[in-house]
Amino acid sequence: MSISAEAASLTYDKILFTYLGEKKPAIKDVHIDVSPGELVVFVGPSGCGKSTLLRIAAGLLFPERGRLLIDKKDMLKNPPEKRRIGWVPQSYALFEHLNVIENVEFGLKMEKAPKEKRDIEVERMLKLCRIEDIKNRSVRNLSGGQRQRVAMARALAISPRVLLLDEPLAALDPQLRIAIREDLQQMLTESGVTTLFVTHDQSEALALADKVVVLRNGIVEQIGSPEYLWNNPINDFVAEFLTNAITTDAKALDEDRAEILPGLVCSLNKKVKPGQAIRLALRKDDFTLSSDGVEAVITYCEYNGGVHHMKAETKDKRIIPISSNEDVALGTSVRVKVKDKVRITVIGE
Amino acid sequence: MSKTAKIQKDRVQSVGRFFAWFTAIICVTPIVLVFAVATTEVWQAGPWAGGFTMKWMVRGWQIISPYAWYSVKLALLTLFLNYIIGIPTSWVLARHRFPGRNVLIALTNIPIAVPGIAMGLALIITYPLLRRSGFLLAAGHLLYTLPFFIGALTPQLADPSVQDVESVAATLGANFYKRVVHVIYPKVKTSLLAATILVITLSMGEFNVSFFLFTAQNKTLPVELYSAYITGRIEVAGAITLCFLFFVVPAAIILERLGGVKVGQA
Repeated sequence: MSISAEAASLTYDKILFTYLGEKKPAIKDVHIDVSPGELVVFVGPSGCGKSTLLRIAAGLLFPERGRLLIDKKDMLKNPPEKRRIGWVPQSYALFEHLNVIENVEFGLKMEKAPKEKRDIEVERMLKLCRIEDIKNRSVRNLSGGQRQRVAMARALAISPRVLLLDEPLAALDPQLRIAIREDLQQMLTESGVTTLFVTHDQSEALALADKVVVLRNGIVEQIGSPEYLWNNPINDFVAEFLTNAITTDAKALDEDRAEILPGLVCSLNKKVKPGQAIRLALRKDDFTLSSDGVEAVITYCEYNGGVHHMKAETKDKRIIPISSNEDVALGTSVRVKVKDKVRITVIGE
Repeated sequence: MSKTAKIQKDRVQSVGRFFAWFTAIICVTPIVLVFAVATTEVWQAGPWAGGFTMKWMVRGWQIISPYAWYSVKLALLTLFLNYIIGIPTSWVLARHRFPGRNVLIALTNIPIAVPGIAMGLALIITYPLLRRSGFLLAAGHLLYTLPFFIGALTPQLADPSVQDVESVAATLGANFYKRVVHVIYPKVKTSLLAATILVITLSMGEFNVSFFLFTAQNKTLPVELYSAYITGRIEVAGAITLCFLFFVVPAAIILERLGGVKVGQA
């Protein structure tokens, strides 16, 4: 069921925005293109400007410079009520004095849709978001997951050209978050709406996105599909933040191999110049304990459901992430090697 | 919890309870005494000496009723002016960051710090011709109550949850008027009601400013109450006090039930 026949393209064109009283801009010359129906996830640490970008799209903040193009038309001069953009804030901001149905039909009432149309649309939204059984309940008594669905249904009911989701899963407990994430992905796919999704959780970004935008200090660090970013992080920040990697220097032995440290040689995921100094993203799934590896001492260990995630420090103070089935105590001397058939990710162009 | 710590906690709670009751008794005793004075035939002979009577209450009401209605009208006018000036001011202070905002907040709070007598005198000196019309009295009440009104409303309007629902309503197509009616008002109505009752209660009970600004035609209930104490019988003064409490206490109770804590925090 595609409810958003009018899914629009969106472009942030060289947007510059500074909060009143601040000297440093929160958003610096950001340019992002979003295709119709695409799910784009903005990810980055707190204060990187991801929610600010959503608020600019919604018309709640006004940049000093740049253009916001929706279907190639600049929308910056349009107030929020004239943009037809659905926004779900982190708090969900449900109208507590209204029940579920009244919340969902709020936007349709504002646009003075006839009662018959409202009823049909509301029923569709309740079904899409799977909240038919709670439709007459006050929103005050709903659980976090139910509130999230009501907020989604309310935003989708106006057939938005773009849907903005500001950390919609952040208020949920971890177990529920994964379940709701799956439902959310299904809802968005069914709706077909162009979606901008903000999160600081990289696993959420990788799981949901058609395209990921990595932000830091108001600047776009890298844009690409989750697979592309995973395999081609442009710098240490992207490798560390998005893929939880430990970054390190290495020397290319030939086009396909590099030496991380004496005795620890690895295959690379892309071709490099022999002899070149390169940066590598080391991930825990790339390394394991082995009697024929290099010497290191375990400095960190956590059990993660069947697998132990560890960090080991080599003699020359390099940190290697490891995953292993073995439980090894802190301070234990071990030997570490690259897993068979693993290709270590090279950072940079 | 150790036995010693428990004993110590019990002791602290007992002392706390004692002081709470002590304070309550201190507050309630004068009201009981005033009731006794107002319903006793001859107070000098002792409580209810000569029997229980309502004649002083009737007499007291006859004396103050014109002033009571004047006070009510003045309180409603003050409330109206608070709405006209206080709501937009609260909105601006809550929603906008601009140079001089902190100075403006400080200015709106000045009337709280300035003694009512000084405020009354300042108004008479500045606008002597307005005194007779009663507008000066209304202006004095407005100055006295406006900081409390703004203080009660601004934190609620600035609350991120109110701003979030308003923003969502805007993205759903609601213009400013619809946002105010359908979203903001339901969110802030408790604070608005609390601010309303606060203004009425403060205006009804205001004495200092009124004492300097009243005229024979514009006399408020507290000023008349003072006159009764100075010139009349103690029983009549007691009855007038009781009438006065009938106006103010219910409003204060409603205020406490609906939003007293929020107002206190503001």
